[in-house]
Amino acid sequence: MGTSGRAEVSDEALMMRYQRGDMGAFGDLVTRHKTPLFNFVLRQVGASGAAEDLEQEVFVRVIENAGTFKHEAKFTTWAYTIARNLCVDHHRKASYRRHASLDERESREHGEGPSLGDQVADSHPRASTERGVISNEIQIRVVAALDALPGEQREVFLLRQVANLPFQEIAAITGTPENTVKSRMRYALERLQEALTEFEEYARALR
Amino acid sequence: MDCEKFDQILIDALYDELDELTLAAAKRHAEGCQRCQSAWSGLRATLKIGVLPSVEPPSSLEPNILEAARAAHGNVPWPKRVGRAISWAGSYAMRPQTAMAAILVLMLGSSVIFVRRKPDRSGPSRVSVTERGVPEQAAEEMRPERIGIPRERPAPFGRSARRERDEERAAGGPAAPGGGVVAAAPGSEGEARANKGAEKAMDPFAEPPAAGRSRGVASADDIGGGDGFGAQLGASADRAPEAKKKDEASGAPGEYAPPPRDPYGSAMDLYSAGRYAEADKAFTDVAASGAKNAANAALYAAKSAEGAYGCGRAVAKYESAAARFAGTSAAAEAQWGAANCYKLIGDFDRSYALYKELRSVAGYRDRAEAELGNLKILQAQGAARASRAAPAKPAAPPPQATAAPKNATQPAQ
Repeated sequence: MGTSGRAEVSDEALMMRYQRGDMGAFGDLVTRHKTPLFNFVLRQVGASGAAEDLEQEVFVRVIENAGTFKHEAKFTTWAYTIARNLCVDHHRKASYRRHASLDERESREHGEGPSLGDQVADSHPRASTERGVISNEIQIRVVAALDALPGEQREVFLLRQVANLPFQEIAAITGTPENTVKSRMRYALERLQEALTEFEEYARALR
Repeated sequence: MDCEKFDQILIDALYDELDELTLAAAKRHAEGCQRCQSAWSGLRATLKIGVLPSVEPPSSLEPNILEAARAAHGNVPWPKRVGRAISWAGSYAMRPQTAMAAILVLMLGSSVIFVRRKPDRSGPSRVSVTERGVPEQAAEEMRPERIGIPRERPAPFGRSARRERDEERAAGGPAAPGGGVVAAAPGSEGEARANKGAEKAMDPFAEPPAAGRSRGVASADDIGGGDGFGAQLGASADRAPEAKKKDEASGAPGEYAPPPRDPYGSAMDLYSAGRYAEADKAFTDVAASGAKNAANAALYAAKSAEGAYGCGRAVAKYESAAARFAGTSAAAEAQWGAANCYKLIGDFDRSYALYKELRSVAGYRDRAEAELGNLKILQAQGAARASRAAPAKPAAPPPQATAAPKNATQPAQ
């Protein structure tokens, strides 16, 4: 995640360029990180509209605190720490955990839009084939299992699987020891494994 | 590797983040352990199929973010702008090129401060080492006159000196060649100055003649005492016109203004000139005035009295100086003089007592011991002489030491 194959410039170098007033470098950072950040926030808050707002806030805070960024630090660690804190604040404000139902449409607060299940299905248009159907079913089960995970296991799973961050960096973002991060990851995978037990034969066939 | 260790590294093994050795060990363990083999293969299959679908953000998200970013960029409060500027400056400061440039500037700056210009070779340096290996200034400070030691009058020497004396006798004062201004000092004073100048020329500690110090006087020493003083003669001849100009500018051409001397110095001049009676009076006045060199003045008053009138009158002055300035080096020297005088006038007991006291004074111990030995011999001889003369005639009166020692003892200072 550190570098883009297109630009071949590290996130930190782009950030330094932005600190010198290069708005184009900031645009490159947004382009590079908007999708994984959006997915991380979306899986945390469960609503697309809220995820958009929070991601926008993440980048605004990056701008506001750009002066404090040191070139020795990792941009992803910094940005995902901001995103995680914003998600925590979002949950605190909502005062209860908002579990977005796969079948429930989003509230009007965030505008009309497809449900998570629809979004997952739409991302794989060739679902008519048997494999496509199975894959779609698996993804729905994965999303459901993820929603059922405790928050600390879910965030570790998302940071590893969605943001593709190493465990060391995840430990820095969550403020927990690396071994704890790995334990949480294992628990999350075991829950996922339980949810996908009936697809074991399918998984073996994929090997 | 056991199952517990395998559990610890399982996650790393799943993500291929193990080193080769540990991975091989884990594989070996899993091949022989059904539980671990099952856990590894099950989780690996879950990771393979349990991929979260990636949701593309709305297309409006990026423009919205950039618009919000521009707005935020313009609304950054000034403390954060300052922090950004510092960060920007810091990014340059951390570069090695900047560090090298800073070091170069520091080196140049420090070289300007610390590397001083070499002393000007054309001008005289403030301190120069003489042939004796002593800095010139130190030599000046060590001049005997400065530390109160009188100097023997050097006898005029050489053919030039004789010719000079003849000329002086003829003219009534010293003459100066090369247009030099003749000192107006009459008779003996001019001669004394001439002698002093000659003494200066001979003195290895004497100050070298300096152009700035020339007061328009070409005294006998500047004229040159003959052999070996050609360089000084040349220098004096060169200086003479300058000195003349100076005197003309000051409105007193040809008139010698002797530097004012303090009473002690004047008294010392008299003592050096062998005018002991006058020196005695002058030193006594100085000692009575309580000046800073009163102790030395009292000592030299006694020495002058010894030179003028003999030990009989001097011994009281020695005793007085020793008592009045007890603890000083002048007092010790006075006590030494008194002991010598007592010995001369035959008062061996008093002399013995004084020498005995002097044994405890630093610098006098060995001399005092020697004198005590001499006194014992003298006392024994005196006793033997007395015993031989006793049946013949009554004891002879003590000898009167009336002869003044013409060669005054040099002070041990």
